[in-house]
Amino acid sequence: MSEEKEKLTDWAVGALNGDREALERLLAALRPRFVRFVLRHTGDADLAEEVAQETLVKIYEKMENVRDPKAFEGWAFQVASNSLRDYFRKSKRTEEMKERLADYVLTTNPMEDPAKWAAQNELTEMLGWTISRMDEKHRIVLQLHEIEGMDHAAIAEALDIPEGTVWSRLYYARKTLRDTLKKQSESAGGHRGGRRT
Amino acid sequence: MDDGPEKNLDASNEPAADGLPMECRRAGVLIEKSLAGVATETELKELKAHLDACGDCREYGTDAESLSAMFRGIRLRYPDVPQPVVRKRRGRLIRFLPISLAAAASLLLAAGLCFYSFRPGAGNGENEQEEPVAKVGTPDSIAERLGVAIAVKRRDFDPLKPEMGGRVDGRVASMRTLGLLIVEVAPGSWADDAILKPGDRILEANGVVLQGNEGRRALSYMLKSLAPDSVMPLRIYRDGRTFTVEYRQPGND
Repeated sequence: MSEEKEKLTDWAVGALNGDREALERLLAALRPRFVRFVLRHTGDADLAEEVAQETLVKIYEKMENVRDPKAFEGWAFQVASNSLRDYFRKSKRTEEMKERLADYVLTTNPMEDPAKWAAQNELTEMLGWTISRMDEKHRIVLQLHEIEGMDHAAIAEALDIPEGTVWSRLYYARKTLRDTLKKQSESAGGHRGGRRT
Repeated sequence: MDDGPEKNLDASNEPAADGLPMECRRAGVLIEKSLAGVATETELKELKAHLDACGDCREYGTDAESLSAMFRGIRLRYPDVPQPVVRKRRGRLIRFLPISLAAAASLLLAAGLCFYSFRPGAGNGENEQEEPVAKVGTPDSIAERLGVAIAVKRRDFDPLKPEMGGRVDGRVASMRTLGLLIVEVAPGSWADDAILKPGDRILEANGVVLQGNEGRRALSYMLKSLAPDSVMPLRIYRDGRTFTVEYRQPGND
């Protein structure tokens, strides 16, 4: 276990046993990671603060459901992921998002300049929206790996699943994402700009 | 958890909803490993052999690489090191907090303190009297005169005390929409006598709507500049209703 992971687990043990200070440290450590997590999905700093806060409150309210302290981190990010999904569900008109997404994804090639691609907040947000519509168990591994930057071993530990399952869910998630994007671009109708080569 | 090199790598424990042949699903898993940079020589050879033979997987592989690049770009754009939170405000980008302040803020949050707060006497009704101390910056007239600690930014919410405004009407409240939230009331203070409680929100002072940091500064200024023995009405929100209390500036006695 990495050092940080050990600390988180120790604090989780304390928090689950009613140690207030441990809980405060745990939440304080997780908070900036939640902010960054949402920011990476949406490019919106204000929203990131709000969703991070919402997540902390939910974690506080529901944490008795966590039985294994080692799985606390993974569970906490699932709460964050669901909060983000709920935000996207409530706020965006589906048709509008689909069209905008199809417009951009096809005509911009992230392989050329990934950082520049990501600097377009709208694209980032639309990608986040697409991800939010995936089902939970695949969405969470994709987010932990690609958004949060956790390696597969850390994900396996955080979610308490075998490493092989991490790979297969990652594959399935990425495939689903790609198929969704492809379908969106095709249905946006015989398209302006044609296919990306 | 990983038994051996080959065993856990097939995707057959995933719903075969897409009806893909097993070799293609295995290739997909190997693509993941190769994108992550952890595929072995053997695995890469196996993958290449399949991609040479399978057009669909070749196409998927290209798309998978693109998606991977997208995410890498996103991680680059919002890196892991603590960064100033940059906020857009009326079209201008303003640096919100320098890094050191942001770090200090998280430490304060971790220690359970708020900005612009003080520590009232321990417990409820114990005799220990602590001097109210403004925690940050210059003496704060809101803490001094009203005897309350308020939160103006969401980050000041203490999620460990949901009764103090973590939720309002069942939703997590946005500080930007409901005035200044009272998080602590000092025993024996004006607010205590006015029977204000943590969770109450100060919506208006003297008819001026208070919102966020600007509202806090406005209230602070009004409290400082209010003439002795003069009265200032404060409109308070509690549990879905509002009422007014009057703050009287102490006279020159």
